[in-house]
Amino acid sequence: MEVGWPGSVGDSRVFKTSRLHMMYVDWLAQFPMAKLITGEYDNGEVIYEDIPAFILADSAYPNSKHLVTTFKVTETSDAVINALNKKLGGARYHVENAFGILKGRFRIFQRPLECAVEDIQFVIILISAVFVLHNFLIDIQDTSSEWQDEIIEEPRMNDDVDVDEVVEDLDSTTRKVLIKHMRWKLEN
Amino acid sequence: MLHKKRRQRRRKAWVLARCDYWIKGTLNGQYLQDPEFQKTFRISRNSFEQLHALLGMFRDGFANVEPYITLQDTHFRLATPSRVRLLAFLYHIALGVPYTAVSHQFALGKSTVSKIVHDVANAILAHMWAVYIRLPSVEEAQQSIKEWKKTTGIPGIVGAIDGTHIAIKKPANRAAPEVYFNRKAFYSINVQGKGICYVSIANCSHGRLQKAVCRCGGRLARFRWR
Repeated sequence: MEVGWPGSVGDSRVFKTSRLHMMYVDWLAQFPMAKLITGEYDNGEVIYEDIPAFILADSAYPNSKHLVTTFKVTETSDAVINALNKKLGGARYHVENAFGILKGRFRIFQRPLECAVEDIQFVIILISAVFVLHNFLIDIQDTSSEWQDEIIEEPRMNDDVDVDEVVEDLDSTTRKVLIKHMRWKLEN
Repeated sequence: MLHKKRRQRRRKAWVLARCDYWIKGTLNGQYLQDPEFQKTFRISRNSFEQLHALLGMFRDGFANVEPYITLQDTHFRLATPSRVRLLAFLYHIALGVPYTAVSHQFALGKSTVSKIVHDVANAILAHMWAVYIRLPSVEEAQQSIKEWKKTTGIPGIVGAIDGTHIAIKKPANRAAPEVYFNRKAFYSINVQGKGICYVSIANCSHGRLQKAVCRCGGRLARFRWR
């Protein structure tokens, strides 16, 4: 987890400098390739293609073999891409929701943090401490439904985002396999 | 003349008189049994004791046990009990109330509350950061690949990564506070986390996966906490 970059720094730049960025390729490479149906021969035999383990991200991140991003809204005119976007977006919903749960649980985040006026370093310590506490509570399965209705749904910000940093496509092979799979699925 | 000066310097009170009725009753279980305790502190009494066991250790032989939250009693006065310190921290972050409100509720001075919040946050990072913010183990990752496949039908998804902005007030003593001004038009600090779908029966409420875990290996960028 990366905490502490000022708000004006874009997501992709935070990711580029994070420790996860240095290790995620090697870490994900240890998982075996999965098989995904991408099409059909004329004789009815299905084609499988290999797909590596990967992480989902939104369109603010660079697309690569192990980091698959959703498409920007401007790119989507194709029905296949739209369907894929919808599917990946639905999966990404969980992690966005996790932040919402955390902000609903610890209400200190519901208004601007006041200690930032004097001591910005302590704010970073405090935020990280609350995130650690959140994971601790999940690990010991402290679930209470008392504050469930206070969960804030974060506004879906990435749909109308004007990404100021140019995000380059590093390697879109994984995403291409997914598109092929989606096309096959729509045809059938 | 000298006499008059001395008189002006004398303190009005060593410790201000404050009402500690509520916190005493909360500690010995007279008030705030579990549903209400959970509603207030966002943590059940049982998990509070577990958290306290992790942080409240007192090692004999060290006068100042800085990384842990227990302080040593002195001849002058008794130290604030570690449970009170932890509760005050939880009250501050769970309800988001200012230090003044915490100080009235817990019968502590305002600056004491500030010190407590700093101490507990540091103790949590020192003792729990490496355990609770980490990459998932291989088994956990494989479990989460299975879980994602069940919900989306696409194999190979280990997790999802996302960032969020934590709103802060405009920093006053920095050279360029505008770097904290984000594209959504408020001052904030960027947090990035990787969510892993986590499988357990308790976490699946209302028939859908409700809790993704924000965790991944990482460090603090820009400012290190130590």
